[in-house]
Amino acid sequence: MPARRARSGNRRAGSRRPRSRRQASRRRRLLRLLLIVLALLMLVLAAYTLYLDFVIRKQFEGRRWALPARVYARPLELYPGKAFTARRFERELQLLGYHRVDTPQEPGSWTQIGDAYLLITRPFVFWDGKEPSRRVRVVFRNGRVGSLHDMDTSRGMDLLRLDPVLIGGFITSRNEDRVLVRLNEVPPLLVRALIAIEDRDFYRHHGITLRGMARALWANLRAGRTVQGGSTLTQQLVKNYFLSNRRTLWRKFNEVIMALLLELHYDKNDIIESYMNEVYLGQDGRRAIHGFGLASHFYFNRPLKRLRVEQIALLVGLVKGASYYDPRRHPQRALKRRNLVLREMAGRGLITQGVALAASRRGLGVAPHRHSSLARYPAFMDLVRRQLRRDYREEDLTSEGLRIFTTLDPHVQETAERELALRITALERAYRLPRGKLQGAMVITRTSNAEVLAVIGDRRVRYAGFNRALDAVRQVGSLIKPAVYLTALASDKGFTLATPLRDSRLRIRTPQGDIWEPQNYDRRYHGDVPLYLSLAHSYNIPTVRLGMQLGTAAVIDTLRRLGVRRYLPPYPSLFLGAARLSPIEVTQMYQTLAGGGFRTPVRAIRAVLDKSSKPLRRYPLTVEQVIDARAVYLLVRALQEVVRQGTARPVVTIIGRPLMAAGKTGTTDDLRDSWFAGFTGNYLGVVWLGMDDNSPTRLTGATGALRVWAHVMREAGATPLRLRPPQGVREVWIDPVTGQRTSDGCDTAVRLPFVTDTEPEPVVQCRKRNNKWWKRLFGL
Amino acid sequence: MTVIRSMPLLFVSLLFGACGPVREMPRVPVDDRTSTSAAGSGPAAAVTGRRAVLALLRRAQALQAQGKYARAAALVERALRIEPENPVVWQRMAGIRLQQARYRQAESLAMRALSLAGPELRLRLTLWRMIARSRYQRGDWRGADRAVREVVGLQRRIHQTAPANR
Repeated sequence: MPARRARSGNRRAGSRRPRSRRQASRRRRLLRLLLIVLALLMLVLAAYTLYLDFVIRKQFEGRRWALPARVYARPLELYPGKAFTARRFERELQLLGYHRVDTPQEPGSWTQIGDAYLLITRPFVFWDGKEPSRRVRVVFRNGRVGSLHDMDTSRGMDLLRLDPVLIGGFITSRNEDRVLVRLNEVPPLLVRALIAIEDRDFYRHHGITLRGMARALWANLRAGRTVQGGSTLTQQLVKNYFLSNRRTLWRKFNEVIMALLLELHYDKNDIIESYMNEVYLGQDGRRAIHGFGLASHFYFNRPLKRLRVEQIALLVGLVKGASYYDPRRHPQRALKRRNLVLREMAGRGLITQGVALAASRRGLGVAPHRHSSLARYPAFMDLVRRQLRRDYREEDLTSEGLRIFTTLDPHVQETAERELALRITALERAYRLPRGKLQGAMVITRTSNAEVLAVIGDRRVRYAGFNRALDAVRQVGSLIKPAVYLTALASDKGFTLATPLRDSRLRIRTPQGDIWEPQNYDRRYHGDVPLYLSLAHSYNIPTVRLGMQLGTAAVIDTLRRLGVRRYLPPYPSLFLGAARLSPIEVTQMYQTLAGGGFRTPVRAIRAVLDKSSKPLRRYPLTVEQVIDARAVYLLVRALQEVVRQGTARPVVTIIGRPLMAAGKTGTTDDLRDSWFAGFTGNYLGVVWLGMDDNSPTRLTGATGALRVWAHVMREAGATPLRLRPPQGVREVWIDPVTGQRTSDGCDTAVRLPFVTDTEPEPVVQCRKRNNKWWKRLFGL
Repeated sequence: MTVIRSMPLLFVSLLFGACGPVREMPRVPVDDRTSTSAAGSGPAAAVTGRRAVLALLRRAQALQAQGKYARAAALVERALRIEPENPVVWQRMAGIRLQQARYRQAESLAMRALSLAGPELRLRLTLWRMIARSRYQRGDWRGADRAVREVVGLQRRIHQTAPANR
């Protein structure tokens, strides 16, 4: 009881404050709850902060160096005597972005005095060593390099290698491009100007400034909407890196936390360096220009180190709004902004008032906008990318900052582009073809080493769509015939260039039981024709007969040796080109012929270096002898006859100087494909013309593709093809009618090469000219 | 058979003949036409690129001596772009591959040089030695045997044509 009483007493005793006690305990419970909630919240916040921290560190360290691969053309090498015109040289300097000035004083500038060019080359690190910057004097005479002097040593030079033209890059799916710069490569004035304009307290704050945020808040409250960001450079970087462009409170919150975290982990120099590589400074088509390094090239065509005060001011001014102040589209706005920056720089004592005044009187000095280098040679870049994919992952190409040295010759590429477009338009007009439908593709390599100099995959040469040079797999027609004749010449069946082949009616029973009766293009028979003339005039019947004698397997074997990998139908129609190949595959086939029976893989890349110029992989010249050099020599001599007196005669008229080119026309049924493949001393080219829907073109190989080929060769500076007979070949005089050997210098006789001991015997007397067969052949 | 029996002896001479770096450039048939492009372009054209090629080959040889084969090969390749039909440049390339123990490529390159070498006996001799050594190293005995025969034949002809040189 007492206990009860006591309890009740207690109750009574506490009756004065039971409510307050209850209130207190409730408050305590509430407090506890609040504490728990707060703790939980803190926990969530901590977890969230940790998460942000993780994101920041991962992204910051990972993405900081995501650099697209840079792709370069072949470097231009000059030496006394090299065939090269002053015009070509100027174009090269233009592509390189060298500046024409009165007196060259910095690398990448040049001037012309009379027939001499004075220039200061840019230093460059190649895969086989460094090229320092040089002051040189180049004189061109009669289409050649007349002399080459180093102006510092006043000595003649044997060889000069310029830096290579940058022809593009492989950019991430985000379409960002940048040239990475290290802080120590950035002019200190740029860093100071940037800080003065964008974030004066950068070196003092911890990622955010309360004053800045308060100021922004006040401005926003007054305006009733968000007008000011009040961001530090760190906050801007965070925004660029991780956050969307929406201006919400939540984003601001994230931004603040992340900015603080970033400052916690990284020092100021890391942050400013990243900022300078990250900031958005312009747009080039689809390509976004990020960072000062690339912006400097994009706007002024020079490296960051070489910017003048007013150029630095312009770039710093662009940070506020790269499209609003775009100096190319809105030069007035840009000028105003730049001068404002210059005044501010002077006001902060970064430059003197005098310098600022002088600088603000200068023009913007923005280089003319060049067509986006990424889209300049799309078909060639496509080939490079495909060859690289064998060795690299896509991510490596877009993020590792690889430097890729290719074989592209901008001069040959641009000549081919121009001529292809001109010829196609002219052909459409001449043959009354529907406008804009005729398509074309071309591949040009260096005859001697199979380096790809030019690729065109579409008549609209900048269009990066279907790449016909690599992907248009079309019937090749007579382009395949050299393989049949080569099989014969390389066989041990005693074939020579003079072997008479029968051109008369031929009926072949196919495995399906049908009868196939091949016809000549002129639908006539020519009797017995020497082997080389049968090829020169591209007669079908003797070719099929020859092929039948050799067998499809032997001809396919020859094609495989020449480098053709695609499926080849093992039927007699193969001898007339009922096989489908792409222009690049045809290029490989003819390349092996041009190489004298030595196969060298067609290649577009010379070397790949990593971002610190360490060689990662080279693609050296390799050769493999696949066919007897003597047989190939005989065949190439016959291919020269194709151009001299056969189906490709128009080449001689178009080029107008003796080139001794070797080549072959190709035409398919109903004139659907027009082909020409051929080579000169320096260039090998394959041209295809046709319709994408495979409809007839009204063009033969000779009236279509050949015209393109010949014009390109003429304009690109093709050199004569001078063959050296290999050992074991000798020339004798042959009567082309009888195929018999004659005494030297008969009127009707021709000089033909033979593999030693296959020359015909005996010597016959000269024959009179008026022979029926002879007349028929040459229309005399 | 006699040749096969005498092969070990021959190989000693072969290896010595082809091993060391080429001290001097073998006499090349300096063909006015090989390196010049357009026909009839005056005396300047006759030496077109030759000095550049020699400068590149000198630098390549220095690198080769330091064992920097890849860089040496890159320089020889540049020389080849200037004079693609100069068999000596091809021979240098073959020499680098030989030192790298890339025998198949060395042989092919030497064959390419041979296809351009014309009747120059000493150059042919050097090249056949390289080919013999490449084939020998690859275990292509039959091929090595044929190459050795060429070497022997060439040596005999060199003795006959210029005994004073030996």
